[in-house]
Amino acid sequence: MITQARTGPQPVGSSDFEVCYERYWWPMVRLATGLLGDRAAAEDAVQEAFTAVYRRWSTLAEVTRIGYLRVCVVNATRTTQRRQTTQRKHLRLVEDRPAAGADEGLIQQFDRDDLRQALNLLPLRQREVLALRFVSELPDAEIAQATGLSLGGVRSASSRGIAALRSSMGELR
Amino acid sequence: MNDFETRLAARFAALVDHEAGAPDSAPPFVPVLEDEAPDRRSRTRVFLVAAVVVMVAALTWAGLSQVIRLPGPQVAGPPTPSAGTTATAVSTAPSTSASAQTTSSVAGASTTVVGGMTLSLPAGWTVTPQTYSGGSGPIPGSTVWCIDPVTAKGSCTISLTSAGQATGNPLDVDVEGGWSSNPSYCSADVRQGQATHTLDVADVRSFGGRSAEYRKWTHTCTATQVVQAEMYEVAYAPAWILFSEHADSYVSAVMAWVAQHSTLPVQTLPLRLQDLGYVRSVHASVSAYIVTLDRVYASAYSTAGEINNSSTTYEYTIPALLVDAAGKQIAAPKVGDRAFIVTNGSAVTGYSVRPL
Repeated sequence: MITQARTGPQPVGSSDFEVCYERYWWPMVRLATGLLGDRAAAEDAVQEAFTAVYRRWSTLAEVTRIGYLRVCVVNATRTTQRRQTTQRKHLRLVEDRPAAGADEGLIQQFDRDDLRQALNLLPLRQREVLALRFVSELPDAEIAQATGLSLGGVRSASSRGIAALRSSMGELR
Repeated sequence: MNDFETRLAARFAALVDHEAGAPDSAPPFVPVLEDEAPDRRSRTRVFLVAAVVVMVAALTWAGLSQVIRLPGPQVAGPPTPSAGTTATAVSTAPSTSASAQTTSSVAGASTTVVGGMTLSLPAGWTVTPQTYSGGSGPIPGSTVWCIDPVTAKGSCTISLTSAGQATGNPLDVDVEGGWSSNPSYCSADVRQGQATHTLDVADVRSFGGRSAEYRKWTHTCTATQVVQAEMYEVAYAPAWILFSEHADSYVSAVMAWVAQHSTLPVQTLPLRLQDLGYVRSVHASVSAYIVTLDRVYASAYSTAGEINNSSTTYEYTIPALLVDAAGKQIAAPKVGDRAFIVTNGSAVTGYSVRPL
């Protein structure tokens, strides 16, 4: 008796997608947080990215899935940032920053605020390249894939972004 | 990486650690429709796309209907409104209303009770009782609900059937739609030699916490008409069928989600309502034949022939005086028979030999 079942496309939502979701959800939230500076917005962007991947799961080659996911996360954060930019035009953000003379915790708070403000002043592509490099710890080739830049563009954006941060924040302790 | 970059990397990591908080495990993933996008432009765009899709689907449906005889309820008769045909929603929250509305148990998802089944739907999907027209109606003893995107309510993208065993039209887990009498797809194109059919997947999966026969077929009627069908059929009473003939990857995923998150009523009767396989042994007594059946998955389409993933056998008691549909007493079962067995859940009511 023939015992060989025909193979065919497995439905999206089968275990390999779930494994991917569980494994990469948190790293992608960290990446999106690095880009957006806001955990809730980051989770929304990551959900949007996974939904996009989910719909195309069966058509994506296995080796390209994570790369595609990263592209979707970066794209989703771009959309979020455009939205935030529009909102900022209509809102005057009030800084609730404590007075100087603080302890170590407050110094760290200042450090974080300074870095976030410095990052927010960078052009979008430079910020993306730095987040992918320092948060996701990706090599230049994968950063190029995620951002749509050439390898040269990645290196250029990286060095310019780092130079801009050094200029605005000093040498760092 | 120079010293500055090293310090920057550490500072960046600390920033993200602070902003993202402690590592979390992923929340349940719920498929989300595009019409849930928050900005108005997206909603407008999705609405326009949805409108176009609905129009195209309607036109395509009309066209396909001319060339494809679709499986599904085939027995004519007036619709019979009953309590069973009404989707009854429940709420886990305290409510003063007798007609409590759907409630969410997973972010964006909804849970509804239909026909005793606790049906979970991903966000953006809805369930409605199937409506009938032109004198058609459900198969007696069965109730059908349509599961659709909210933008295509009532179009029966996925059908959910509480299936009763019908005289002369038994359940059949190897036929699209779940009933023996359901016609094949694109038969006109078959005659013209254009159509191809494949059984893509045949196995057993969980549906609502019970074991279901799972099938996935692809019917390529013509170069531009492809029917992707997918089915989960619980073949023990109470039997349930989750079926779609629009099972692209997204619909397929929704079906998998529904199958995983819903809860079916528990099995009430011991025998499977329909079975197919090879008779491995026969023990005759005065009033019955006790046969053991080696189950196979039949495929009219698979070039691999039949599928037999397990050597497990199942015992059935065939009444010696059982008669066939023509009223003629059945021949004694023999070892090697390729037998199609029908039951009412408690006893065998039909036995026929179906050569490959």
